[in-house]
Amino acid sequence: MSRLVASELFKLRTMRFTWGLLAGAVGLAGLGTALNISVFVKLLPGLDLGSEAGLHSLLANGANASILMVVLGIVAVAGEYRHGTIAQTFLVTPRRGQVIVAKAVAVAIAGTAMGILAASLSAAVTLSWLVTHSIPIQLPAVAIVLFLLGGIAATALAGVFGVGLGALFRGQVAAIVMAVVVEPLVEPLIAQWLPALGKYLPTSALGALIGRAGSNLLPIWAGGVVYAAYALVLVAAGIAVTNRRPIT
Amino acid sequence: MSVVFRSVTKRFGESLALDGVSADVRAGAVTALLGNNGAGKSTLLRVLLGLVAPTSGSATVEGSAYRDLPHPTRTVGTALEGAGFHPSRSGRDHLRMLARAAAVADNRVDEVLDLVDLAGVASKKVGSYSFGMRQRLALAGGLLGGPNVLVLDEPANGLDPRGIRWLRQFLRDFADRGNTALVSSHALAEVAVGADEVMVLHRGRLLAHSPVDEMSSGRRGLEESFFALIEAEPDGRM
Repeated sequence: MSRLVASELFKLRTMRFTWGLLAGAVGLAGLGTALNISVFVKLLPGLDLGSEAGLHSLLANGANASILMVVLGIVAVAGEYRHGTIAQTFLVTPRRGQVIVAKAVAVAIAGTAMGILAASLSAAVTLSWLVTHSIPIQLPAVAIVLFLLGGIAATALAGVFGVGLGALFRGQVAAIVMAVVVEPLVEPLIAQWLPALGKYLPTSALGALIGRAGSNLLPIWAGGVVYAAYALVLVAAGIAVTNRRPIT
Repeated sequence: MSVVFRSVTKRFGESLALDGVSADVRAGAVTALLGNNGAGKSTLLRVLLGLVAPTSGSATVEGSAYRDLPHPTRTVGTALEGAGFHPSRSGRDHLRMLARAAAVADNRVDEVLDLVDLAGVASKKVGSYSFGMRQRLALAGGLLGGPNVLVLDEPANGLDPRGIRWLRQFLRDFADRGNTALVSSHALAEVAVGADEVMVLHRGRLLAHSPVDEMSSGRRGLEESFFALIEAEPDGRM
């Protein structure tokens, strides 16, 4: 299994796309946090950015990378269909389930790395701004680290979620549009109709894990459990479908 | 027998892609799988390689189904038509990623690149390769594991005359060492020179399987024999 993961990590490393996404993730985290600060300062002068709520809304920017990781997960699988490398992959490893699992692990590793980088940048921007403006930080360091860990877990799990989607629907563009555009648009509508169900839907669960502000969200840990369950179910379904798919 | 097909039938919806194909492909020979486009050549090879599940029947390599081989790439080398490459990856990196999954050492990558004469462009992106170079890269991928069975789908496509002569000689040497080569082609002329045995597939059915000189002997050459076989079929239009 470890050589399969090594092969999948190598594939990610040798795609320009991966590095573009990484740059995007870092940009989203850094710029997002800075923009957020300036918007809050201008529009909500009463908001204490050193408070728990203030810190959470700023630090959650680190996990903006999670949406990009969904895309990377999709591309890691569906991209092989698109570029016609999937047959070669399955010829080397005819047990297709092992390939999908290795992809999920590799993308989770990439997501963890990306998440750490993005979270660190977001924290650095947030904390240095607060310190230079002499605003007291009202959360203990442990609480801040735990909050950031949630975002890093979200980024890693989002990659696994994407791998499941990519295995299930090998059309790369369709899968990306569905995951990144359609689902997040449809979900709030469902949540309005059925508020009790809404918080269990994927984007809401992911938002809870990241620690986004919102009234109808699960606690952080529960969001993590629910989102992880989505990711694992998608991967399992993706394996089942992949095993039956003719590779022509 | 190193490659065995037993009553392989494959249906895609209404259409019958393979209709009860049985054949023993012997070691120490180059076997050409001939047929028009759409005859079922690719499907037959993909069934053998576990990429397409047969509706019924079975195909084995050295006694087991492809997916049950303990080291598939060390047993069977493949280059399939339409093998693709990520355009932003170099030829060497393409092979390295396969080598990693197959537990093949990186220095073997440079060996096979040398063998197919791509060493000079190995660090260039595949996006800049010509069709013939891609064919050779696909072949290099098939050779990584040092297999004793080669399954090649239309390997001569896109090769220049020099490349075709090289491929023919390569397959000759490979088979003469006791290995098995199963090569599909729709180009009859190339095969007549290179192969030992011929399998003729038409509309999913195996019409003939015999030594090439038997088939191309007498008044008729291989080409005439091929068309005679196909046209003898009840619905034997092209």
